[in-house]
Amino acid sequence: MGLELNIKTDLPGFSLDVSWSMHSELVVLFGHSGAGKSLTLQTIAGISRQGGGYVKLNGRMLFNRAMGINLPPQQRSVGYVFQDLALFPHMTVRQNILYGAYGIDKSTARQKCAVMLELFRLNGQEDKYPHEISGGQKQRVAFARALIRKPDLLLLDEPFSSLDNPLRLEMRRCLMSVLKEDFCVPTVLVTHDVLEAYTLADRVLIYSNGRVIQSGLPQEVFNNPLNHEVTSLVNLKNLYPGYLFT
Amino acid sequence: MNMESALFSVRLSFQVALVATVFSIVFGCAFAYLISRRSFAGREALDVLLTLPLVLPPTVTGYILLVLLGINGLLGKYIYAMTGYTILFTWQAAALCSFVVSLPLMYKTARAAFESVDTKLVQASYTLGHSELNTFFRVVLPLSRRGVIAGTILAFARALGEFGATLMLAGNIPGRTDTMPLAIYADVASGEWSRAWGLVALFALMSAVFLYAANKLAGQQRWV
Repeated sequence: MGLELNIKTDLPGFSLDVSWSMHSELVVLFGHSGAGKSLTLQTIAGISRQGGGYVKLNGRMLFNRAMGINLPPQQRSVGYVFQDLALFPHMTVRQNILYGAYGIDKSTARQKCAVMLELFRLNGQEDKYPHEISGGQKQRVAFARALIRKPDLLLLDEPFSSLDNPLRLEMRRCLMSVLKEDFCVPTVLVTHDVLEAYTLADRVLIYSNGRVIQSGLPQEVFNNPLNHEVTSLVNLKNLYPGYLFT
Repeated sequence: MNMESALFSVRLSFQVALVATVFSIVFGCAFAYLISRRSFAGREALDVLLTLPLVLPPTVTGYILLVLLGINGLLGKYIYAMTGYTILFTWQAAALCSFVVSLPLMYKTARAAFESVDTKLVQASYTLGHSELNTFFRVVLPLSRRGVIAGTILAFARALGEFGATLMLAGNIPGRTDTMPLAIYADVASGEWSRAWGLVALFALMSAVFLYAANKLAGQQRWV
């Protein structure tokens, strides 16, 4: 069970070569922008369909270059929350959430939608359009829309980056409580915010130039950075130059 | 009698333009989508081919259609040999000419509109399980509504005003293929000034109304 992947992509000026696996946990991909974190998510979701390697979710092969398997995103059962949320501007909150309930019969979908509205505290907002609600509310609509179908895996691409600080903390709490208590869906979160990685992650993978250079529990990784590269990435302040006398 | 034949021209013009516009919408949107979202061999060539009638003189377009579809034409002779049907000098020929010259307007505006829809929204729809077709009708088309409406009106106006190609392929047969522009030409040629005036005034008025309606419709939007 869980997610297992090995992605090798060669693009002009950038190559991605990562291999990792996860169980029912929250994994944070941490690193600078351009390190290959988003490309990893896109390959898992099937939005990016180039490159080689494989992606296996709960024993099901989603993508395998050697075997010629490349399921379209529709068949992968992977929820995706985009950095800019990608809410449909011409649909109300309710319509946006129901859009995620594809293939579920109408009355069940409506019930599920009501549960999601309750869970993400969106009651009273259901008939508004995305441009009429706050940033935090938009965020919760995006989560509700991605989760209503109970995907096998949830991918979050810097979902909190557009929020200001107090709201970001509140949204993290909201997401964590929903994920841990109501859904139990394995989650991959991309971020370049140290605090976010530290507080949310069950496990952290440090990305740099298309490679995973260190991984482990957040305390391990952040307290014992493997080398200078990781140290500079996590931006620890207590770093002093020294000389080695022998 | 005068009035009656003028009314026939008006009715025929609308029939021709309506049929042409329906085909333009279907093919214009289909090609616009194909070219804006897919990469395939001959994509650029297809774009040139679809846009060509916009820049060609209508008589050239008409000539090409005649060479293709005339009784001795490249395709036309087979159609005639097999079915005994020829499109020459029928209202269908007028509709075909209007379709060919209005297609570029529909295609160009629809393509620009489709390309302005954020790819993220399309990707989001796919990850939520919706097929490409479903995504087109529920996300891409509603979000490019303005462009598609504007394209439809432009295509309709162009179809209604088509003259040159129609003259080549459908001829100017009173009571059969004389659409308004052709009727006006014939009236002027034969000195029927009052009838020409009537048709010209009606044409100008209708065109103004269409343009106004297009602006109004395209401006209405419930979201920002």
